Amino acid sequence: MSSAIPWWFDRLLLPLLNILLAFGACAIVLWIAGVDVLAGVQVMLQGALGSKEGISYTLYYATNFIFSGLGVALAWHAGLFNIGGEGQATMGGVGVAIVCLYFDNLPLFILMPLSLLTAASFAALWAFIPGWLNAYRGSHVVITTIMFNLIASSLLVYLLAGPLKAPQQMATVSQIFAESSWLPSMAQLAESFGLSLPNTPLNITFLWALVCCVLLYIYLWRSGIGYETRVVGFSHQGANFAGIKRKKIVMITMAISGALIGFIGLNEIQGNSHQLHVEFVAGFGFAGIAIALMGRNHPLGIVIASILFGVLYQGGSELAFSVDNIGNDIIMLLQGLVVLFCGALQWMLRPSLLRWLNVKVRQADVIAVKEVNRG
Amino acid sequence: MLAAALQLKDIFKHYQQVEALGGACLTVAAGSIHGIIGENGAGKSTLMQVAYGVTQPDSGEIVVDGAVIKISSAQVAIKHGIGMLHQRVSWLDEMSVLENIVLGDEIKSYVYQDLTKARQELEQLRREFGFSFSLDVAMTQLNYSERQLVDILRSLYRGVRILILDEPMALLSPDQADYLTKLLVMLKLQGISVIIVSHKLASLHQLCDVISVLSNGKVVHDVRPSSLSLGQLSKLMVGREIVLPHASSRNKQALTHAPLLNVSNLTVYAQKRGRRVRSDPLLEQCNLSLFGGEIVAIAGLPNAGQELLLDVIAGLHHFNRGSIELFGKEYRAKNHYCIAKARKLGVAYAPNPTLEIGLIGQLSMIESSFLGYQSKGLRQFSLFNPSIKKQHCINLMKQWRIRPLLAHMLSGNFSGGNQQKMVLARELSRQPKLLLLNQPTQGVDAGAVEYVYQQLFALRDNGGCILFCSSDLDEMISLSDRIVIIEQGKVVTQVLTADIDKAQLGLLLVKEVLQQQPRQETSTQGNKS
Repeated sequence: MSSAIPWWFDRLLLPLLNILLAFGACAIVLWIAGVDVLAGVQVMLQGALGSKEGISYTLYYATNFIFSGLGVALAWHAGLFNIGGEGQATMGGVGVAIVCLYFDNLPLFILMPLSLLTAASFAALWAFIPGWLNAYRGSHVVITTIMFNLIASSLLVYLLAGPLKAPQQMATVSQIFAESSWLPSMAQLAESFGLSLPNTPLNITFLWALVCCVLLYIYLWRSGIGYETRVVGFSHQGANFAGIKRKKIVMITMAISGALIGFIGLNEIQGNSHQLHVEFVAGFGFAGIAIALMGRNHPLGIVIASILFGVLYQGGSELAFSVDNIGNDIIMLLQGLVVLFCGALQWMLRPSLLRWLNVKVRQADVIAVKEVNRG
Repeated sequence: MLAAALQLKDIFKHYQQVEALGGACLTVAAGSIHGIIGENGAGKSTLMQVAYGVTQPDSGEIVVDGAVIKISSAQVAIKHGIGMLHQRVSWLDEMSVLENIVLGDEIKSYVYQDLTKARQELEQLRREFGFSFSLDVAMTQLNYSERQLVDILRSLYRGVRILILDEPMALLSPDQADYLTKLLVMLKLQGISVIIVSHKLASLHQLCDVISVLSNGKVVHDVRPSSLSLGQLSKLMVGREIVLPHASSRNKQALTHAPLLNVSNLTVYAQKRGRRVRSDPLLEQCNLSLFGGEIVAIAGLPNAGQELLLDVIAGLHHFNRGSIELFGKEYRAKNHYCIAKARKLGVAYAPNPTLEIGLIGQLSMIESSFLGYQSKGLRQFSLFNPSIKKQHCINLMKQWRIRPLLAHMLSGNFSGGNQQKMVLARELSRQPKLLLLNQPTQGVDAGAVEYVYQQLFALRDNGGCILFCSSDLDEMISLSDRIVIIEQGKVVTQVLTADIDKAQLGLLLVKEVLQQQPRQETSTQGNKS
């Protein structure tokens, strides 16, 4: 007879093996491409984790992944599939840019919450409309959110070709913000504590991302409205019985989900590039789907998955930079394989592994019983 | 002793931390009706799932007709002549009975399926067992009982020699249950073994040749009902004689002068494509008053409107005309009366267990233990602190003996009876002024029913009122003070329970059946042409 499955089986062992499988598949691809696999891995790990600077970049990318992962996960708990992360992040960035361009004379301690709120509300609005359409018109959020991605990217292009375009510039970029409105980088922050960190794009938004994780956990599992959100996600009729207004929950959830993803704009625009440009979202919005999937829609899992993706992103860039016949596409390939093995095929190994493990567990039981008898 | 048709030997099955079956042995003789009883969570359903191949045992042997076999799926089970009826079968509603039954047959041609042979066989079976429905009607036109019969017909067509039924009588009206009983006896005479899992000890006692009692995952007794009384049987199951408190045994308290609930001229129209159809009201001009300190049953045929009436009073379904007056305050259709408001006023509702809306299966028992009472005005504790939530749940589980005592387990992993106990525990713990119940004891074992009744009577004696509907006539008689009879959405009459007995109540309902039957026939004919 089988014993109970130990808790670490599904939560640690299986994900770890899946990641190893994904890496194995990556190695095969690299080998086919004629790269020295071991050297490639070394470049990647060295680039992502080998130095303070590397780690710093990894965490900077992870920040974006955390925001989009949290947003997708929250919507998922209400049974909604928000794939409009790209559009919502774009709108968040637009909001940040408007604040930084027009209110740059405000002191930073006022400007920071202001840009935070603007990013949140612009992105929330962009997700709220699909939410409203779903609640009152029954349109599917997958369709509407992806449409809104297209609208947002067109809107961004329009803004950068017209109202927000920097004067005397050919490129579709906005003016560079006044330095007073830049978010403090972690290097600056560390300096004030007497520590020294390399100067990288990693900024204070990373801390805000971690705070968001905690807040989302409290929201979902420790509050009435989070409870209602999850009930709606499980069963519409059950929610109806519980006296929960589904429409209200759908709209609120979509808005908050959008707001979380909108914070990508904060990290990218106000934290790093200090100007609005066309392709700042760069797939981070879509990556949130994979992050949420891998992190099992739990904030802690999302942080871990985000750091993993950060490693892949940073390490992949290093690889593309240092190895001749490898381009930036390698990052997409790595991410794709990780999603394939950790997401789509996450239970592939489970049955055979359990069967194999059961024998072990049973033997362990026997040993334990013997020891008890002896004692 | 007849030859054994099916033997289950030393079946073990664990779920996570729970031992569902711990060496269960069961022998079913060929051509017999074999009853299985046991308390909630004793392992009845798991054992049946093992026999039907839906669940794989950790260890143990299954012997069919003398040969040891491995049943890896339901398909294999059917191949070996084992069939099982489910409470909820998903039929293709728009297709005919015939098409639904042959679905899953081996397909010989993807272009043209020849149904003449199947039709001949099915017609023969249909005539042999006297099924009244035609093979060509669409499933939508059949009621619950007829769908169940279609399921039996399907099993017979597949050549099943051992038929497993899980709570088959739960949702049947008395005459439908009678018919099913007769049918099962016919099957038995044909040499088919029938296994029935049920909590209705009385009907099993009459019907079965052998009854096995399950307790803690083991078969502890195999008895012949002819050799012992019903009381002894219940004693075997719960270890003591079950004495159901009876409504007439209460000390009559003065009823409140003003009714707690007053429903007047309540009308609900059917909706088709978002428009109300006035010609076809689901509830029509219903009038009903409930006073404090009484229990009222709504009796009627299945789908006569009693469930909808409960839903409307609970605020789960809208109404179009009339009013609901609760504790002196009147609500009309335009007043946005809803279930959250009803709860705030002191109404509690335990919905039909088969709908699975009273608990959310994917939530842990802890979180299910305050479903419906999560909003600010209703919750009795903060949702922030996990240990308070857990304590609340553990208290309810201990009080109602919900097993296993694992508050963190998903509520969907508890047996049906234990889930229903949690729903009742939650709703009763609110000390409601008006309690609405739909099939309150369905799936709940006889020992726990006793406890449910005690709790309900306690609520009533404290001045609360209870409105319930049930398909069990015995339950109506023993629980209620007054019975309201509803027919096609209209309240037709009401009687004091003290004035009638079960037979008379049955007659009242049968009278409706007689009135309804011609109407049903015309409607099927109308559809054919």
